[in-house]
Amino acid sequence: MTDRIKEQLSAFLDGELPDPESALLLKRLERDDELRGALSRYSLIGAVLRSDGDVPAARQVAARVSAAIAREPARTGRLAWLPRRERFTRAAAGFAVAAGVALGAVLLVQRLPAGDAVAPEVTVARAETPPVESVAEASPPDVLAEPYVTPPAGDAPAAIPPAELANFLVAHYGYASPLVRRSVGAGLISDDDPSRVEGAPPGDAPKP
Amino acid sequence: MQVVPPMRAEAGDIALVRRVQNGDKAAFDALVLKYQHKVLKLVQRYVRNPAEAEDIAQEAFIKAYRALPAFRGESAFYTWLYRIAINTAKNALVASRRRPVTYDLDLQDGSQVQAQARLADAETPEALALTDEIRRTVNEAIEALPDDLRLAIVLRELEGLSYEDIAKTMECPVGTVRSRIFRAREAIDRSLREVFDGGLGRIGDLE
Repeated sequence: MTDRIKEQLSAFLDGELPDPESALLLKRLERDDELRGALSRYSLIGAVLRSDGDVPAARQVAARVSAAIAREPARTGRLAWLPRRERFTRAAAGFAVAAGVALGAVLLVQRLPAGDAVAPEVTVARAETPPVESVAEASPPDVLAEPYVTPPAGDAPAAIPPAELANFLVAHYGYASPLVRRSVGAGLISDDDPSRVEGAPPGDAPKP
Repeated sequence: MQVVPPMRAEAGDIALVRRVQNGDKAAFDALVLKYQHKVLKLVQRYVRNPAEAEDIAQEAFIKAYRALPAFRGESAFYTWLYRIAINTAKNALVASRRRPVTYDLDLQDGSQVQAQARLADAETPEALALTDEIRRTVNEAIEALPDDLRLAIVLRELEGLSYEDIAKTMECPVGTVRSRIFRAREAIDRSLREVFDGGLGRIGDLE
């Protein structure tokens, strides 16, 4: 170990060594026990000088910590550093978002003209939709600001018409995820034909 | 005398911390080498047994390594590290008080009882003697330094000045300051190495 390296080490300890040189010195520290010993003693000197009382010389700490850290798994990614529980939570949140998107997609598909297979489910959904008053009590105030839309009378449709879908959404708004609200609501605003909504004034489309 | 470590060193620590956060374990090694003595001294305020204190210091560093991703650099690294060390030492103290007393020793065997008593005792005479010798050696080596080297290392270690500020104070180039501080450290280190190499055997004879 040359004096030039040791001088770099001294400056490194003081935070006065430029970054590129620090990077090289760190690589050297990894494989040079003599250099590690010098760094340990230089820092001990500083600790003794700055201390009121005695400073014990740590004999095994650095070597043992280094060995323990070497056994730790490599953790270069941000997510990999997270504790296992937090990683699981984040994965579960991602799954919930994906599930919300899938639900939104299913609801939108149901609005399209479809075959007979869709019809029975549609009928059940309409029958279970609570009347407007009870929905008004259960829903959050910001949702209630929007008018409830009466579904059009007539034969059971093959698919949910936009007005019924809107009613369903208003009734279940408080339970839907924000992502589903946005995606389905946006679909309604852009696709609905106001003329098909009974009781609505011309040009007044239902809003989710 | 409580001396606050200089700002420049803090910036150096932060640079090392960022390296560790990017997966560079050698940078953490450097932080351990830099702070191990101070952390050990801190831990020994709570746990005076040297072997136990080293275990706790080691545990504190490993905890720090695992917690480092959450370290945002809002406080100095050493402040954060010292907090972990203090908490680890306090927890160890609580755990040791809860630990049930074992009676595995053969109480008829005097040597076993004596050994156990020494383990549970405060600092051993050996450790005390070594610590005392280190302090005396460093102080004597400082006194023996030429004036310019002694002033440079004192301004750095005790006053916490940056190389640039020391250069202004001593009216010399920054490169000269860097060289003087290194030569001061090297001179002190030569004396210290004698303690570690030759002196340890002598200290061991105190038993």
